[in-house]
Amino acid sequence: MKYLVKIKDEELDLHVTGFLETTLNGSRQSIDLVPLDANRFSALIGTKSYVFEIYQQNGDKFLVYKNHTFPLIVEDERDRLVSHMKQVNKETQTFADIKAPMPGLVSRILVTEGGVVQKGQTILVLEAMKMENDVKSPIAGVVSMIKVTEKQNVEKNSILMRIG
Amino acid sequence: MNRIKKILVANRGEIAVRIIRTCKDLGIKTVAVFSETDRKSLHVRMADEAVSLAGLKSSETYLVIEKIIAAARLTGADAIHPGYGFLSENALFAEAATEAGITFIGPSADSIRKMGDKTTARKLLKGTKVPLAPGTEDSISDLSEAKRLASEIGYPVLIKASAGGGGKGMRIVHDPADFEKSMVSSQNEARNAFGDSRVYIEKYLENPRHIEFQILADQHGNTVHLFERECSIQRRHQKVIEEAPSSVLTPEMRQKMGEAAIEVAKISSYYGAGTVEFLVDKYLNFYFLEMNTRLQVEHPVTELITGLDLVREQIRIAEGELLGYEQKDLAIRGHAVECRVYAEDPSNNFLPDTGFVHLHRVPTGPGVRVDSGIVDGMEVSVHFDPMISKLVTWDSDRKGAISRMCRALEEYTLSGVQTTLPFCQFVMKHPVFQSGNFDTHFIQNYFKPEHIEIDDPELIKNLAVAGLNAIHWFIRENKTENSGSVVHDRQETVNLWKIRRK
Repeated sequence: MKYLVKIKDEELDLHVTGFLETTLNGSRQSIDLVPLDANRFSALIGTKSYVFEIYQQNGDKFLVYKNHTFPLIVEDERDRLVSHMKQVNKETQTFADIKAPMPGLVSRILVTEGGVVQKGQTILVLEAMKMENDVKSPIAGVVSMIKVTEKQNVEKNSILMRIG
Repeated sequence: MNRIKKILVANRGEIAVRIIRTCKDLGIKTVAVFSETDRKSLHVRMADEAVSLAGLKSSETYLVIEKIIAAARLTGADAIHPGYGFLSENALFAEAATEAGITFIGPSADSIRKMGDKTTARKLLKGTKVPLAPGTEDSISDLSEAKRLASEIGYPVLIKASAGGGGKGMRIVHDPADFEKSMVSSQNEARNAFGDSRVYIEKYLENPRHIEFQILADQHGNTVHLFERECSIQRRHQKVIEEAPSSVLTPEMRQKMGEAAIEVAKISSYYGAGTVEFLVDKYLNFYFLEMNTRLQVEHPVTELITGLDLVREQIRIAEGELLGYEQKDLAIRGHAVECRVYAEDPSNNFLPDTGFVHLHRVPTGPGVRVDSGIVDGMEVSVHFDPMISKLVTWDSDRKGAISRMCRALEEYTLSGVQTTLPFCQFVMKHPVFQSGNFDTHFIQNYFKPEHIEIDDPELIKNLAVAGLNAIHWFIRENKTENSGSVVHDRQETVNLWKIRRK
């Protein structure tokens, strides 16, 4: 199976020829991999020793090594096609859904539907863990829809409003 | 002498666990209290007895004086330790305990009132040799009056909760146009955190260092200081990294500030453990900031450089014992550094993160201490403070303590939520932190999220190879699409590894 693996700024062509047999950009990689607890693994690549964790959140995959989290994008041929199409869509996207970065209580809404907002403008204040957190608009545009009201409890990633 | 036999710990998380440990050392029985979501918590498991406070939020549980006094009565506890936060600086709570015939492990209600309220403390210290930063004498609620006073003091100003502590409710205002918004959110935050929305305004010192002195005083008039803690690495005015001793204080300055700290304690007839906080400007002038009339989060660094157990000292003092040592008997031994592990995402403006902690493996080895209240499978919820644990290292000098911290941070494994661990790794390796010459603006001056990324092409390549093979391992383990997987999703506890197979 051939894959394109994107991690940080690196794009690597990996060819998995069998279990624990991988070819990286044409040269064979020897790897000894054992699962540990939860999602952690110990890997020996050559003589180098790595302990890392793999997890997924909202469909995205992440690798954690020494407390550093790396988004890990693994694509086969079909995925590549799909992600190419998504990329095209993204470029034509002119609106942004504002999602709650954490579960909390909407303490104040600072804009109204139809109002104009600047990029980086605070549009809503979300209270979580006894702190007030400013939610800012990622784009400039018009508030087309507000889906929450003040004093409403929201879940993580629930849509608060739409700009554009 | 009033020997304490059973202590109710009116707190949760790491501090409840830490207090229970000392109680066990002393052969004192312990009672935990807990909210609905804390039933499985470590402090409940470790205590000899535990009482439910029936409720979810802190305002329904850990902040309800009547429920806690009732729990103490029910279990026959003869003393209450309030920990930090919650009711620890609430004079009514100290009084309610005393009225119920229960020893409050902390200062008198009168001292709490004098020092716990920042404006009263400032009034009391006026005219003493303890230097104060310019600011309003009284707390203030009228917006236009507050705005007028702010311009009188001169921008930038700091709006602070009168009842406050721990940075909650604090706002810096540089531009008068932002004053109104900042004051309102400061009042809201203060009301939520302390049930008291009063705020006051103080001149904001540019580039200050935050240095505080630990005080111990018995009920017989003996007061000592246990030297300083340097707490300048802060985000949102809350400390993330602390150390003792400070790398800027000369022995002369230490003596001067220590004496001022003792004076603050004496003027409020203080007994127990307390902390006098100072701001130190770039010319090494110092100003009284506030006194915290409780145990501090960062007390372990003081314990490591003095060899004293501060909770044990608190209990001894509450029993009416003499300190048994004087200032001249105390000395600094070595250097200690503390990193607070918060469930926060440092690459996203330190926004709190929530979720289940799947795996928590703490470092050990020479010179390492971890105070934590979390166990595998526990949830970090929105209801409470996002601090998970405190990692503390000690060595004979600062360089050694920092090296040990770097090692311990790499060893620390916490899976399930984003934490401040990579940020702490960044700080420990930063030349400015290592030089010892930094102030409370360290984060805004030197930290950018991309700084915590690793830049090592060989490592990245190897991680990609390892990661892909790990994903293949999951696929091999799950022959059918719908079989349960060991892969944890961070949203749900257990989820399927949804990768398409051919």
